[in-house]
Amino acid sequence: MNASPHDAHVLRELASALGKAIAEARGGEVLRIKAARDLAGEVRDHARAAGLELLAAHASRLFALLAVPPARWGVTVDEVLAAASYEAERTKLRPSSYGLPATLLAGRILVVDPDATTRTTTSDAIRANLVEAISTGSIEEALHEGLRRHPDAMIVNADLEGIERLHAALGKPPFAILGRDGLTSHRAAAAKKGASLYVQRPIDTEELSVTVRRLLDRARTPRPKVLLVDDSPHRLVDLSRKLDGEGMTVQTLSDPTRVLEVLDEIRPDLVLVEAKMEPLDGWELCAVLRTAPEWQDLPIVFLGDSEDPESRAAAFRVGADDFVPRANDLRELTARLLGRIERTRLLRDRGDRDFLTGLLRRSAFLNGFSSLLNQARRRNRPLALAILDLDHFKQVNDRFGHLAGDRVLVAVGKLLADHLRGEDLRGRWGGEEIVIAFPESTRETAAPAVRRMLEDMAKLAIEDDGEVFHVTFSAGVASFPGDGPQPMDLFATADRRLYLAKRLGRARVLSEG
Amino acid sequence: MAALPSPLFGAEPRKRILVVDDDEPTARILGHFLRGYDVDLAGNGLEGIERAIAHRPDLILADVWMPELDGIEMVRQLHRDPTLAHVPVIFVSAAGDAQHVAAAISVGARHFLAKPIDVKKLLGLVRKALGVP
Repeated sequence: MNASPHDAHVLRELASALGKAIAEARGGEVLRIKAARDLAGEVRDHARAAGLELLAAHASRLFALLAVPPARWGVTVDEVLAAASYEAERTKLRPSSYGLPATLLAGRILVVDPDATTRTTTSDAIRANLVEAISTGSIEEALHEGLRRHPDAMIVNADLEGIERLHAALGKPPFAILGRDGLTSHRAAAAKKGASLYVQRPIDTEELSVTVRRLLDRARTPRPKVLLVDDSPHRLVDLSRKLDGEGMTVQTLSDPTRVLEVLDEIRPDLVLVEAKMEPLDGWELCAVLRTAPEWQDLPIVFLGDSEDPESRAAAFRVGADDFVPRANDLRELTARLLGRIERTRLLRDRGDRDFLTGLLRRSAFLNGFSSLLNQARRRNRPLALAILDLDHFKQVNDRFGHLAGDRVLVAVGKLLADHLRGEDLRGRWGGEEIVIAFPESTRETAAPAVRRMLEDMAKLAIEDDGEVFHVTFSAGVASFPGDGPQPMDLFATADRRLYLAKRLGRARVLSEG
Repeated sequence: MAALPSPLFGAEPRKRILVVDDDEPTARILGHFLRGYDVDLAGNGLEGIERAIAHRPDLILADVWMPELDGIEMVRQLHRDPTLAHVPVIFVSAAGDAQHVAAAISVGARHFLAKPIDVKKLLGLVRKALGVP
């Protein structure tokens, strides 16, 4: 059932042509209708040959529907077309599609390992995450390939000489060190070379997947932005050039009284303030910032005289996060600033996302869903919501333990990631409940996608201590505008259908009732 | 003729121009051409930034080659500060080769005027940068 990359590409092209042909056929011209119908037939045959049964079924239905004049198409043609396009797009997401064109891949990672077996295992595991792997056996080869192909990140064997040289030459991309064991001393050595992650051999593909995602997340994170407030132009010039050289985007402000008006525009990751300024000193400025609700979490670091314990204490009292002596070594200042920024970002992410599944937490999902609904309303487009609940999840936990339950959740998280489009919003609602929003979809077009997910889920063998078990889910689907205008209407309706699905015997998806 | 360009009539506050040049004769000549505007002088990039912060000019005329902090680095620095980033800069320099023009434009300079200075051209650019007819 896995189409080859070439088939998948052809099908996406055909499906997109079909969409255009149907739009043109609406005018009622017989030749155009025939052209659209022929294309539907072509999609059907290709999809069938490629083993994409669902897409073949949609296309086949379109082929039949297009036999009548456009006036009688109603909304059915639109919905089936939407479902077909969805299926065609989904061919992009199949993890089996090695060798996809680079534009469809999530990123590019350079692998450097003299050992051919490890190199191949690592590269394959990277590609399984839909990420391009550049496989090299030495620092020299890595330099050559890296300079030509600009990787987003690297994974490098710990024993190689010249890692720092490679890292600098490629513009310091984030990288992971592949080491022999988990010894703290080896991890420390890796961190000293600038590695942000350490992976232990032999390679565990799960762990490597996480590493790949973390590296790419890091590569996508923009340069940290620092606002430097100091009334001395000399110090401003000096320090901003230095921090710029350490990989930060620096903005400056020489007039501390204007801090509130520029903050809104700059939105920095951190504010670095000189303690002694006129007419507003650092302590006063910090106190001012902390009175504004939106700047409560903004990291504020002081630069001042270390000799005076009282001035340091005063800084912390008005809400400073750190106090760095002015004459400090640049390396320490950089480390303190970047460390502070990184941890603030991590905390923010941890607050929004569930660690196990990578899904949004309840409140973050609700925020996202509300804005999608507003968007749908403005553009007069549909939006579907599905609520999934794992069947007999409590028994899984009871029988196999919570670790097995967690494993199921991780599997579900990955399944969703494989099945859904980038714009589909997904969240974890409660213990075993998952919510998904499908923009541009009605409940009729979203339900088949959820069913497909259920089929794949049921096939998934989850292993725990030698025992293999399977998990299914039940789901309810509702959509805007048919099921109501407000988020809560949609949640209530989807939830009612979910309850019905459970009562009807579980492992099913309901979009009516 | 409500808004006369000449500030001599006192109808509007005089536009402020900061001239940054380490060569004193050039600075004086520029000051002479620009009489009628409120002109401030600075001898290098670092001083330029200090004066820009204190003087809040409407326009900066700067040399490229200067000690301490060159003109291009000075502009880069001004652009870091949101309260100064909007101030237009015209480079006036003998270094009129393509590389310097490119560097000047890339850091946000409005114009690059090669020495010797064409007064008419200079005044035209100044009026345009200040948005006065």
